[in-house]
Amino acid sequence: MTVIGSVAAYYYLAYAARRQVVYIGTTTSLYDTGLLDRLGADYEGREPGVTIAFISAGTGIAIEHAKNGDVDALLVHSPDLEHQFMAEGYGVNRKIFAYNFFVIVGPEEDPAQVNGTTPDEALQRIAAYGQASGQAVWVSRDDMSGTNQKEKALWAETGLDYDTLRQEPWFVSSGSGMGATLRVASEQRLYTLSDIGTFLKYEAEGLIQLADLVENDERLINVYSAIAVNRTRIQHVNFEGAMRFITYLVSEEAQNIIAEYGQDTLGRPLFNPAVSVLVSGGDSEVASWIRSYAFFEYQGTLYECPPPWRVGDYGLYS
Amino acid sequence: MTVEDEILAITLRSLVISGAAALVAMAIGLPIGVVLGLRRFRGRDTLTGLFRGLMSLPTVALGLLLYLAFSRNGPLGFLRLLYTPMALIIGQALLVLPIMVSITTETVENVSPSIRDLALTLGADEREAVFSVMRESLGGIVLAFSASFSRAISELGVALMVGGNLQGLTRVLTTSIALETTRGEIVLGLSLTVILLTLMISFNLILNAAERRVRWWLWE
Amino acid sequence: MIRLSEVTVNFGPIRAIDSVTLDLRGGECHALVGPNGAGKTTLLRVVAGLLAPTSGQVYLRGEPISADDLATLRDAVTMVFQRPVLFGTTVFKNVAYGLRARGATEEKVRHRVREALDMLGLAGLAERHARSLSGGEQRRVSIAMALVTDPEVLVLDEPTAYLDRDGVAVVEATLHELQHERGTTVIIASHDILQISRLADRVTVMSCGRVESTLHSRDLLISQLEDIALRDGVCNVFRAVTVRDVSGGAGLHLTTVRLLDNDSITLDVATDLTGEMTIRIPPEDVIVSTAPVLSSARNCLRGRVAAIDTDDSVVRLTVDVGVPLVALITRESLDRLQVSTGDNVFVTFKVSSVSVYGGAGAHRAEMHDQS
Repeated sequence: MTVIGSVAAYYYLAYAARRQVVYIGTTTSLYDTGLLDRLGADYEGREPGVTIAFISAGTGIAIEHAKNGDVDALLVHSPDLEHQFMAEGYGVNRKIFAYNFFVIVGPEEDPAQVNGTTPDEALQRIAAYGQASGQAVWVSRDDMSGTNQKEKALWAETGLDYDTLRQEPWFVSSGSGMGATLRVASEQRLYTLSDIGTFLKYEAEGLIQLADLVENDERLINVYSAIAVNRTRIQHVNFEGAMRFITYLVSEEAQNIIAEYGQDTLGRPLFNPAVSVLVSGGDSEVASWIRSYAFFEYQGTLYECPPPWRVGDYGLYS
Repeated sequence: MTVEDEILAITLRSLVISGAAALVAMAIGLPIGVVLGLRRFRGRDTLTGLFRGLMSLPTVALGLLLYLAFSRNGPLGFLRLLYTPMALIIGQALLVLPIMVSITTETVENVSPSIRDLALTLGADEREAVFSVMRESLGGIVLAFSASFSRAISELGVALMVGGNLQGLTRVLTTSIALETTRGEIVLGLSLTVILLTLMISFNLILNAAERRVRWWLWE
Repeated sequence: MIRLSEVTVNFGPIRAIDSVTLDLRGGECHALVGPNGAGKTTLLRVVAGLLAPTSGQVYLRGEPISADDLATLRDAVTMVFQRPVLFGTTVFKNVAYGLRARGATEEKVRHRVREALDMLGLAGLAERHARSLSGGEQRRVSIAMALVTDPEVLVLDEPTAYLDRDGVAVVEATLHELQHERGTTVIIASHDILQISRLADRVTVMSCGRVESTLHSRDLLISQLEDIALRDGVCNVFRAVTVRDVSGGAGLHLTTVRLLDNDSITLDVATDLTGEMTIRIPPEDVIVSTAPVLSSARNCLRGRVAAIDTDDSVVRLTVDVGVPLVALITRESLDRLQVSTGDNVFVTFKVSSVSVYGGAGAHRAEMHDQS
């Protein structure tokens, strides 16, 4: 048994070692939709000998991974953290490849009357209802994830301070991932902010009973970008491998996969491809939302990736 | 790759990785356990206490420590082991080493004085006496191996933190169960759970049968 | 054969044996007696070459044995441990272990193992798993394991503890045969001074790691019986003399005896002896009641509760019936009885539970008949 085990382990490891591995740090809400596995499989089919390895963790940890040089690229959705990451010199060649919208979900009976309102209005009504009722009304992931960052920004826009709200009795902290938080919301009849992918999946599986109350608003836009880890800052990263995958992500093939993903199983796509929106004319309403939300300013102009943070010529920016 | 192929690959990978981890832990832990069980020396009680304490080390805590060690900026980063099956084998081997050592020590310690004296008084030399002690400790050693393998294959923390749950590389049964559950694929998670349970039970049944054969063989 | 000269053994701060000098002669049966913790087991382990003395010297046939050379001592001496230790395999392979360790041929192994098993009444159990046997059978197996290699010296630590009567008889017969037919030197530690009187040529009395005395004859032993009995916790041992032979004839029969300590007390016992004898009434067989129990097969005496010693669940009740008689009863029984010191009670014990041992002045019944 020992011998068989050792031989099997040897061949297995030898097989694994022969392949070139590109490590991509990503967020759980993105990875859990299954989109990346689809893209990775498609890419591996095109590039034999390459393995795309997704390390799925919260945005905060994913960025830590990148700073430690444990991943070669990031796929994340938190413009503020991305800007900080790049400003510190860790990341280069940022490229926005997809977007969708967060949703505010809650009990079907909607006790705070937020259905069809704007996110601003909805959050204010929820806070007011919570403060009046004294019962649990809102559940937050409270885990520094991209979704949690978005939530903080939304509360800030309504003029309420997240850190103060956290202390109030109607505000529940789940400290766990999107799926678990949705289940808490469903069981306890609470409102929460969710990414559309996890929400649709859990709803389709019959795991939760929550209504999609506020969506498709500029404030709720969720923008996914790819960033390569800067090889001049972190040695020994697989920069070329990372750049080839990022180039693939914005290719027509990958963008088509993104556009269709979820249509067959959930009845509607989970993501919208971003490249065509930003390139072709680039003056649509959504394009302006993306620009104001996820572009970085450099010398008075908004860029997807400011020129100083671009390395090499991969045809990403036209 | 169909879902069935994927499940099969994950199951085999779990078996190979955790089996290798348990074998590595046995290769290192068995001699340590035997020495701790047989000999009395200064610092021995501290060592046995240390190994016993480490038995309850939370898997995520070990995962974190190993992540920091194996990280490319960490002290062992040059080995480029993070997110490889090898890192997972090393991590699980370290995780179960205290179990291997402690159960072996306890067994040998219980068997040793009386069986050793018996062998010696019946005319065996020191080497034969140690062999007799080992032979009588077989049950405990098999238990130590089985407990090691079971903990290795059922742990999640190390697999997530140093394995990274990479599809086709380090995705094992427990990380798949966790992933499929967060993805809302409850049925798939449940099937993987059933596979894991079946695997652990049949492994222990096979091990029990093997123990009887080995015991018979050792007496021939 | 083996001589210990001022042997001391320390276990850390504890002195288990304190400067023991002892001469064990070839071919004798030598007994060690003394209370628990007297150092009997430790002394046996030194003799068996399993433990090097902290100081002092062990000699084998006059040759000093160094701490590095215990194997030489082990070649001559084999020990049977107090708690039977067996290998996890068949009875046959257990008994064969010593022979195989010495490289005996398989033919010789088969022959000698059969012989040893027959001797201890284990012939039918050869292929049984040793650890599936009863406690008494395991003890006999452990003795067979030791004697199969025909050692010059056999050391036994409490070899008949917890054996039933048949088991004791088999073991005692085996030891008798070894000593008298093979000339094996037998060294035995025992609590049972009466067993020692049956088996041993000489007795060494130990207490607190020291040798108190080595005695040569059974008479001397018997004179010490009461003393040792008190210290050892052995009780209810009395000297008695035949008053009336109820049934007569050879073999076991009902006999009435009178205690020498208090000749107003008579008891019925089952024995084949007449004249003076030693009797022992096992304290656990003594029943205490507040009303008399009348039965032809029982002795019933009236007495007064002299002392009640409680030790966890067991109560040691000393009843003065003219001599002190100890009864071991459970705490529940005491609670049911509701007696206290000074109360009148009745003690009852079966005739068949009284052990009878010969001594000076005892005769076998048939000899008595002839005279």
